Amino acid sequence: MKAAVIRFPGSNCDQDCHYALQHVFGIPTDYVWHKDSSLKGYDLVVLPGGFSYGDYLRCGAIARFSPIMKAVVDYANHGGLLMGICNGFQVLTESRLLPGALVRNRSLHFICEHRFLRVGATDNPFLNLAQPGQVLNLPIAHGEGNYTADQATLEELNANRQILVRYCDANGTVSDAANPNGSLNNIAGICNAARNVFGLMPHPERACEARLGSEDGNVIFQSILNHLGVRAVA
Amino acid sequence: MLLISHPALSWMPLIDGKWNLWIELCTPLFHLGWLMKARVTVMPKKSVLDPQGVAVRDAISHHGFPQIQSVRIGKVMEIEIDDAGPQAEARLHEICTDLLSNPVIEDYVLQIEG
Repeated sequence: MKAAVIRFPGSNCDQDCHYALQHVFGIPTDYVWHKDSSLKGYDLVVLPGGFSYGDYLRCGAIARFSPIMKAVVDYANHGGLLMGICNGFQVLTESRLLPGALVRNRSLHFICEHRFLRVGATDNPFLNLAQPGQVLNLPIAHGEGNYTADQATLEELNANRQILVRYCDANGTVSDAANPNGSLNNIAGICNAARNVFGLMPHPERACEARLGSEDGNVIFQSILNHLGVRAVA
Repeated sequence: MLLISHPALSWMPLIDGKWNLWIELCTPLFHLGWLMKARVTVMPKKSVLDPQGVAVRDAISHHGFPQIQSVRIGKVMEIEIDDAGPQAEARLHEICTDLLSNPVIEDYVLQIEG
């Protein structure tokens, strides 16, 4: 199995993603530059967090047209596993690989703290080793993580079980008080209808070792390995 | 930017630096129809919460104008292109939809000037 972490100008969580994949899970992982044109041979592609293109115009709006994105869209349309974290999630919505949009946090504050997430659907490559309703503790760090979509999109997301993680309290209760940024229905992460593209605002790569304060991100990486039928080497 | 540093042009006033000088030089080209100017205004859709607008509304209210009802904040882009052909406007609309605005959350208005 091989993984790719895409680097856009301004991406800054690429090394953490590489560390989690290569050093924690032993997956051979390459950095792929945004001007490259091929994703041949990869089983997992990650769009990391950061401030691609300085968040100019809108977060992810310019990265969406980077040369590598043709290959990313093609890869996703052929069923390849694609995960966008934070700014990566923003790039996925801007490129319409995922529905909806991420806008400014309703508090206008950049929020950098650990939050609780409630797992929704687990019949997908990214959470198949988790339990529905399981509570994960992952850090968030964003100023534009407020997920929004129109009513029709929301109904479709619910009907197709595409909402994979929601902000909740420590007990797993999804409430407005537990919503850090005003996201519609406390949505923190969704997948596409085909279930091969996952976008989430929280950072699983920053919750991959106990010394980071939480190892709850590991269930996502383990689920991906499980889906691909691979055993972690490390 | 050889033009700007040429001694023959040293008599030209530099207003706010070299960019305004460049605009001064390009204006005659505009009048010849070689340059197209467009203005794109992008606003958040009414259905999208605009917390920045709310914060500014409150600030205006505290600034002694409590009658203020609402504020919504968008962005304006001034664009100059040197191909004023018949395709340019249609192409600009595409660019507005694909890049300059996100139709999920924003509306845009494209004005061609001149």
